[in-house]
Amino acid sequence: MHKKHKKGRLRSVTEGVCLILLSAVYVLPFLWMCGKIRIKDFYLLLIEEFWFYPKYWYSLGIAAAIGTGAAVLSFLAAVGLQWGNIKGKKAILFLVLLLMLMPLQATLLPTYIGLRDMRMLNSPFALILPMLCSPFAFYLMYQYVETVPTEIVEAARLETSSLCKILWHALLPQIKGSVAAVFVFMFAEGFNMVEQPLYFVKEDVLRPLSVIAEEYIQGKEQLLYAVGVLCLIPILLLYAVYEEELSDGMGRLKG
Amino acid sequence: MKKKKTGIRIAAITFFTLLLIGTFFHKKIDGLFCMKVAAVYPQECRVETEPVIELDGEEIPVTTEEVYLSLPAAAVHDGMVFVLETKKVPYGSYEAVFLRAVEVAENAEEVGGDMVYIKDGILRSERVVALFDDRLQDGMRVVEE
Repeated sequence: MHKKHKKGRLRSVTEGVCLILLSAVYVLPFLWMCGKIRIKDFYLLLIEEFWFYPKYWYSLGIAAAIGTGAAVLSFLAAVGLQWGNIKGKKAILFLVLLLMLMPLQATLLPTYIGLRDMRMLNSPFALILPMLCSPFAFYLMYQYVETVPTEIVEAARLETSSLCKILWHALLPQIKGSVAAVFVFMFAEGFNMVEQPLYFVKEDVLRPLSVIAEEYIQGKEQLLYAVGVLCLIPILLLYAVYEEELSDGMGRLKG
Repeated sequence: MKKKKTGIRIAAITFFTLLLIGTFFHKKIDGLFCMKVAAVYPQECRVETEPVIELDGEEIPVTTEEVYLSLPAAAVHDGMVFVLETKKVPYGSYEAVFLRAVEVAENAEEVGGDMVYIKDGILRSERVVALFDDRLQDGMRVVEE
């Protein structure tokens, strides 16, 4: 009994050490970045670099549009697939999963051609539109929608025939967490995107902070650390606010 | 848990409020800390000189007119002046004023009073810091008074 207890303790200690080491891999670059910052850099960036504020708001706007749009679209798509009279649901889900596994670089060219044909290159829509139809957002949302009992929808159908009312009053309260999770994930993805602005927009005015910061801070590399920290703050705040929803969302994705 | 969420919300509101304040007032805040300098435009002046040339053993005075730019003597220090350059920075309608150090030593001639004549190095349309200060540096950003 004593031996078993000792073995279990050893195992949990080893697991703990491994987890600490693993988290260190993720946390150390952030700590290193924070260690490099001087207060003066924030002053220089926030007061002397005039381009920072418009770019910051622009990036936040793009990210918020992507987050909101992706949450709404994926919600509607997931509801449609779950309760709609659609044949080949499994095949669709399989295709979405395949798309999700594809690297971004593989979809860049088709997206570029699509945007070019729609004459949307070189506009903020070129950054927002492709991100709205995210397979990841759809799959995550579908995992939640799948768990909503059909009885709730049936009961709502007896009350009203308005689809909007059913979605708003019966379904949305059930999957609030998933909407938040999709919003946060897509917001973070939109805020940190790098490849899309490089390919889809040519003018500096339309490029977000994640791409343009390095160009504008030529010769003042020290300021990049301050930009990094300031870019982390909105995402950290969102993660902190929706911590439960996010961990729940990742759990469902795993399941 | 509730306290934590409230704390995060307060942090978020504070962060975005500061960001908004910065967005609208950073130019004014900057003006509080930036060095203020007075600027002057160099003035054009013509000086007549009468060098004497020898022609066939005869001395002939020739009147020539030379064009100089004049600056207050206080603006020149060790043959150096600071020129103010207005640069349009990316985004918005902001225009920042930077200093550019220009050597005028070889062309500076003190001509009495508190003015110096400068042959070249600066243009008539360029603004120059009226009062030289040791704290001024090349590439420094200043606020024009």
